[in-house]
Amino acid sequence: MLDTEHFFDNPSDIVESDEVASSLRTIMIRPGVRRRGLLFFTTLLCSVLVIAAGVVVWFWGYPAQRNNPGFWHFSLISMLFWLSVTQGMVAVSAILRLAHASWRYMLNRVADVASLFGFWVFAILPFLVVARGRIYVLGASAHSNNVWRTAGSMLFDSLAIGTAYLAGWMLLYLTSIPDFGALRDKLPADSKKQHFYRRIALSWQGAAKQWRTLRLAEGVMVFGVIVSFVASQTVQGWDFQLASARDWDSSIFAPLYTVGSLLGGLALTALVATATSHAAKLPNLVTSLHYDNLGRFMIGLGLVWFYFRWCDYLTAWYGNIPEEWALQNNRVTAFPILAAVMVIGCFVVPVFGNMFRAIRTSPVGLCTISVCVLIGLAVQRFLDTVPTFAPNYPLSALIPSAATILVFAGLSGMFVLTYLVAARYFPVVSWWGLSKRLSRMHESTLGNGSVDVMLEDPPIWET
Amino acid sequence: MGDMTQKSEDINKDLTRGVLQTTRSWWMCFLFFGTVLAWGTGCFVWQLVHGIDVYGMERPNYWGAPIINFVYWAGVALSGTMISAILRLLHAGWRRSITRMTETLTVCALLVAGLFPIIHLGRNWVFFWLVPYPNERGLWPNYKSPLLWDATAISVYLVSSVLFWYSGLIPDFAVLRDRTTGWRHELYSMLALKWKGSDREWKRLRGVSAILTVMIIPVFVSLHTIVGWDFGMSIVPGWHESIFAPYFVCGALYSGAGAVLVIMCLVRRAYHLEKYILPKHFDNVAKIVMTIGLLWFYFFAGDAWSDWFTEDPTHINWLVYLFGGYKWALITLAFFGMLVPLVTLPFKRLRTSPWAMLAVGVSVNIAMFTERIIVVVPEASRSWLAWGDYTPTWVDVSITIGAFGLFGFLYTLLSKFIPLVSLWEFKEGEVVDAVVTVGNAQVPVTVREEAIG
Amino acid sequence: MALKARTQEYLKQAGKPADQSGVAASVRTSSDRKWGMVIDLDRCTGCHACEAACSAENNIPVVGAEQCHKGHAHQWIRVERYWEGNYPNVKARFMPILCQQCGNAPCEPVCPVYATYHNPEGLNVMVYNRCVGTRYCGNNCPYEVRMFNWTEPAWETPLDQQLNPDVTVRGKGVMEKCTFCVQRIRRAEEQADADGRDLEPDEFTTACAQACPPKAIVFGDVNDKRWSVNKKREDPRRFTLLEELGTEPSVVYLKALDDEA
Repeated sequence: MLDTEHFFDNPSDIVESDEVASSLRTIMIRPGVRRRGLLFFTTLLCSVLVIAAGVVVWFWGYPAQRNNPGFWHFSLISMLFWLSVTQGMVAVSAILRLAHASWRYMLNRVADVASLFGFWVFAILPFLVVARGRIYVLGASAHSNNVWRTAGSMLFDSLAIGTAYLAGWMLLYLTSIPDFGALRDKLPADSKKQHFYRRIALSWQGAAKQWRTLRLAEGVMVFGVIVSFVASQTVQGWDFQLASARDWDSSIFAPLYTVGSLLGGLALTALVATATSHAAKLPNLVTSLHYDNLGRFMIGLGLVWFYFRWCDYLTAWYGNIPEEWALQNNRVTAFPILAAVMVIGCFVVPVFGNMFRAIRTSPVGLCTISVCVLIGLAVQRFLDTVPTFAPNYPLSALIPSAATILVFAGLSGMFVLTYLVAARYFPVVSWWGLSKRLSRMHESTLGNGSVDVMLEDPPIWET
Repeated sequence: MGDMTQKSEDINKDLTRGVLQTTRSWWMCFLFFGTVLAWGTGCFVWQLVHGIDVYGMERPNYWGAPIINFVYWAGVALSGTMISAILRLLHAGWRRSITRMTETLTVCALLVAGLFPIIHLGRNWVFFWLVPYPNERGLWPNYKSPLLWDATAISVYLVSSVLFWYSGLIPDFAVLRDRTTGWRHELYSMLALKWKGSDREWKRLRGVSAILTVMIIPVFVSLHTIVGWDFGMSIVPGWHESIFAPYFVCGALYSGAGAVLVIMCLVRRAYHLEKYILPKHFDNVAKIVMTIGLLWFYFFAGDAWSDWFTEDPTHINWLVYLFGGYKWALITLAFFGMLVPLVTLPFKRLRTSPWAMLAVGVSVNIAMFTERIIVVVPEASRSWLAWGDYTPTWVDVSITIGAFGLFGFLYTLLSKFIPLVSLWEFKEGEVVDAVVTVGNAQVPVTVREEAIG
Repeated sequence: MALKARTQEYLKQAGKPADQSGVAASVRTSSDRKWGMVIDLDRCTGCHACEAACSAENNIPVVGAEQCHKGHAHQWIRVERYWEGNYPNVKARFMPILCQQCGNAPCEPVCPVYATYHNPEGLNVMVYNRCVGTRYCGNNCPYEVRMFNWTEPAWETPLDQQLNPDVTVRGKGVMEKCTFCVQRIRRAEEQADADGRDLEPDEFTTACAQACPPKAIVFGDVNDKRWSVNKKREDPRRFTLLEELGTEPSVVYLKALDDEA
């Protein structure tokens, strides 16, 4: 007999109930800035890194390093890496919604917040434009094999990247409305904060009709997010599609990087979700079920990544066209260790590591795998582009220097700050998702077995 | 319990009617396809006598209708595996009614596809030289050639598909054995391998099924990857693309899913299986078609864009040819492969209508056949130092039609011997699927066997 | 293994002294040779004599006008003609194109039955008996020098009387191409072995080179500096076709010099 006491309760109401309120208190907004604690120091460190990186870039890099391809190259790939994994996180959230995965509730908001990284992208956009321009000039001018030959306008890139982030913001905002409503109700009336939340909550009352509208909007935005994500990654991929020989592009580059972004997004979602559950002191937020499913998803994506990579390599090897093969081969022979790191990080570790249930379902295991994946993806971006400079610039010029490492650190700081700042204004973990999960998940007996039953809303496309 | 027995009997009667009774329309179908097949075979004999000249190929385009047909039928052959294996892995209960007819589709399509590498050879009678067998001359085939990978992949896929199909058939052969007499009884007794339906036998069957399900997925991905590499490994501009492998796999899934829609509608109508193949089946397969169609379009656009991007004449030539002399092919592709699915599949009313979905399935297959033409002909016709053309002759057209005839012939013949809906899978579904009342709602519940892995 | 080396081995095993065969020990084996060609485009007048000689030497079927119209023209060497400029300042350039006998041939790895392979003399060899006719090699050749027997080759009497007995007559369904007149190579080598000497420089040549009136085509052993082909290969006008594909052709072209206006 199924326990149906709370099955049909409105998630917004559940937020108020005693059973869940206690676990939610820790996500309450802190009224003031506390000058102690790990979170504060992390915020401070990240802010310092961001400012330092900005200073380095604009006051030293831009004037003094105009002709140093290493500086621009490494900075560019760092930016693109963070762009792609944050968009990847949003795409992963959208895919989970589309697939109607029952375990998605805890991960959706956490992944969607990554779209707020788009605000930082406005700040780094000038740098992105300059870096891209310098790379084309430095690469194309001295280069005979026609690799960096199109310094096309940044228009399509900006449009594509911007649309993807915009769609992510819309999805984030729409799915946060119930929580804004809850915040509006929890805060003391007529305070400035309450006024703010009242405005952005859009008269949310939690009525059934409003829920239906929300689900419809979510469905539309999911479609928008996926399309714009694919377009954004593809356009970025085409931008750097890289002639692998004179007048020959590797056509699989764009899909390869799209899949890589998804894989990176998945890995980073796992990491951020774990970090959030620790920071919010909610150890049951992300359960072994989540890790299990994320791990399985990672196996599939890792296999697809390797498949695309292998297609690229085999086509060049078999065709044996000198310039094309030289580029492919150079990636491996000039940087054998890095090539191994890339393959191990993006393929061996996620595919074979996740095949072991014990590793896949443990936070430590999956987070370690995620870190390896992210390292592999970052190395991939480096490896794909550095050999294109090889004959004309010494490799020493292309090895990351202290300045470029600082740039990467600054970008990472931007990412962490996104979450830290966002957490001050709205719950980074979805309240209504949590309450939905708590209220609708019941253990019941079916015959001799004990079964976890969760009542689901109908899929988005049946709304 | 008694209720289930009666229901089981009804199911048996419905689903074995096609095997146990032969209607006049079956004979007409059989004769029709047989005639078409005979015509196709006659054309092949004509080709044997007169040489490859009977096709319309011109230097530098050496590959024509036989290769186009090969790639197309290999693509259609992906359908059954997708339904049976992938949906089984995803625990999609709705697959049960359609697994058998789609697995049969796979086997028949593969048999047709496997013939075409032989048909396309200049000296067909020595096709067995591609098989690695020890001989007194000490000659082995060249494994560095993608055509050998092709031969291997097709053989492996054929063997595994037949095994997959056959293992699922054993319980149904037992049902038929118990309901027939005479030569049929002998035949089914032999095929049923002394199946009694004991627990141990079922457990073994499930074990074999599970292994084959997991193993056949990399096989079919690699098959179409390798077919793509037939082109990808060459240096012909337009063929030497790294994207060909996933592009071909996607195209195969697309045409395969379309073929599933066609088969579902036709078999449902022919054998009056309206109670077994429901609108929701069409709905679900249509959604698969839509998703794969979008993915296919993405890869197609990426492929075409890459060569446009290079702005190099050698690589643009084939694209110019495609948008020039071959624009009818492009328009066909766009209309049947992109426009028709896009305007029909978002609507649930159309998705659940069998005949609308038949039209969509046919449309998708027309588009994908055209796509194979687009992949083979324009690129080969625009080589570095020589340009040619390809004008299909009556032999090209006849061989293509003959292939459809062969497929229809095989399928019709097989439908006389095997039930086109898997009896045991359907009955299993009846048992494990239930509807439970939760509060006011009716909730569908499935008791699942343990997940694989 | 070369005929000479094999003979020596056989004699050694049979316990006979090596020089009883009459073959000198210092003779070079065929694996020391590398056949190459130079085509001087400045000398080529586009007379097509090379095409005619090749067709006669190599039993190339005369396919007829209808087949040519269908794109099935059958010639192992073709003289391509390029027009430059507009009337009245038009210039025609002629370029005989034949199998380049590539060192890194794209046609070789794709043959599923090893019907085409690279021999130690640097030739891309066709084994007609082994060819099953998949035509992958034809697609993959960037120079489009491979010819397929679309129909059964036939010669009306009395044309069948003029077939070269040294060259196989191929059947339908088989791919073929220029072999650098391998039958002439073998005949010369066998003659030299029988005479107990090394091949003389410029002792023989291919049919196309033999027939060319202005001697635009020169053939020879690239590894033996005494052959005249080597001097021509050093000419600063040299280029190879489709060099960027990395096929390493054995045929070197010499650019035509434009007249000073």
